[in-house]
Amino acid sequence: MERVRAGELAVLADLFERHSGRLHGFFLRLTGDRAAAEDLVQEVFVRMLKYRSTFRPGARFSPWMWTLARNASADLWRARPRELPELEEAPEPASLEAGPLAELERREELDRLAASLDRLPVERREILLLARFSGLAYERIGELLGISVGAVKVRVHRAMRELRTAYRAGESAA
Amino acid sequence: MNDERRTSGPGASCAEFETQIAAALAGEVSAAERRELDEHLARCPRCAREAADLAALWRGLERLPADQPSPFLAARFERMLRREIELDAQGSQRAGAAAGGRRFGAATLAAALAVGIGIGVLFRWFGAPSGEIEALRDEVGSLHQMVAVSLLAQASPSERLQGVAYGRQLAGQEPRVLEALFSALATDPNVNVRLAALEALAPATELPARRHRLVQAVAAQDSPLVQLTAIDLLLEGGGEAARRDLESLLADPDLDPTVASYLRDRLGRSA
Repeated sequence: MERVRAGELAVLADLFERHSGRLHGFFLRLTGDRAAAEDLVQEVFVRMLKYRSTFRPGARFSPWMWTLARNASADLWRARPRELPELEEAPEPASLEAGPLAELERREELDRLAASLDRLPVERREILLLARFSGLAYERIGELLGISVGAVKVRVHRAMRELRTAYRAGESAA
Repeated sequence: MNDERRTSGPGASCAEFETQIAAALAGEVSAAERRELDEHLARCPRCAREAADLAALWRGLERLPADQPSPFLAARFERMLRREIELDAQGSQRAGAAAGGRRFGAATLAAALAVGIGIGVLFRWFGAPSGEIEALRDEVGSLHQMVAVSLLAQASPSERLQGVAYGRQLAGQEPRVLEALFSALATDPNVNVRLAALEALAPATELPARRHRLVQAVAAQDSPLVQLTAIDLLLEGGGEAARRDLESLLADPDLDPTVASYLRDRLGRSA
């Protein structure tokens, strides 16, 4: 990114090749909308060019990229508030007596998990996806979200429990 | 709910250990915390079940099928980047001309200035004979041609992109520039340069011989992005003749399947 900042804009193509897939996966799971996910990936790279002067020499690229990614998705939610999943209070955790989940491997199990993820409130989904897919340490995620590492741990845990609740609800409905 | 609660430690409750489970799955606990958690899970079946559930979900998330972005995302990105690079190059040229600093900008300005002075002298002394002015105009044209061709031969992709930007204005009238752009389209190692050359050559779709060369260039490309963009440009500017030329590509067994599918769609052909 330092080379892009210094004016070698063509180097951005390498960064696109390296990071667009991961960003796309993140946005696709966050929005559940392929077109919106592609728009957001494009937006992140537009912002990289626009704000390249804000990249500090010597800084790590990944946290900076995820900051742009998060801002881009936050702007999307602001622009399309009606499409926001409802931010409801977290449901009570499912009974722990239901027994441990088996390994989720079969196609229908993974489809159910994807649908369960879609049902999480967007804030929960976002922190869970950041924790699972961004490759950022919790400390960086905390900086990104403006919260402490302890708060990241608690929120990821809550998101996981809600995911389990949603998954079990889908399991019993099937 | 308070997010800042204690997450483990001596005398920690089950609720506090549960919070550590997801953190442990992400590798976000210290060795000491991990040891405490493992000891707790060994003696607490409730938390052990919780850990098994969350671990299954955590691994399941990793296995979720990851749809790949469509090729159009990369094409959009390439277009955006190319536009930005061109704008940046134009800005640099303006800045270079203002400061008299850039190599080719300065050379161009100096030469144009010399030619301009020459024209003024001719006007003053000879009453601007038309043949001389034509010759001088040719000289300026040659200078632009030289700059474009020289830039297209540079090692740096950004300089070659500048060459394409110069060449774009001359592609219709200067055979050497046209050849240099076709050569860039066929052989330049940088996809951005090839895409820029392609757009500079877009007006060429009106002439059958040049259109035919563009279609041949589509077939020879190793980049589906360049191929898709070329198909768009040919269909937008080349009319029915371009459609016929492009149809011949569908018979090429080596044509990239994504490109073939896109071309069939654009031509309204079934597979």
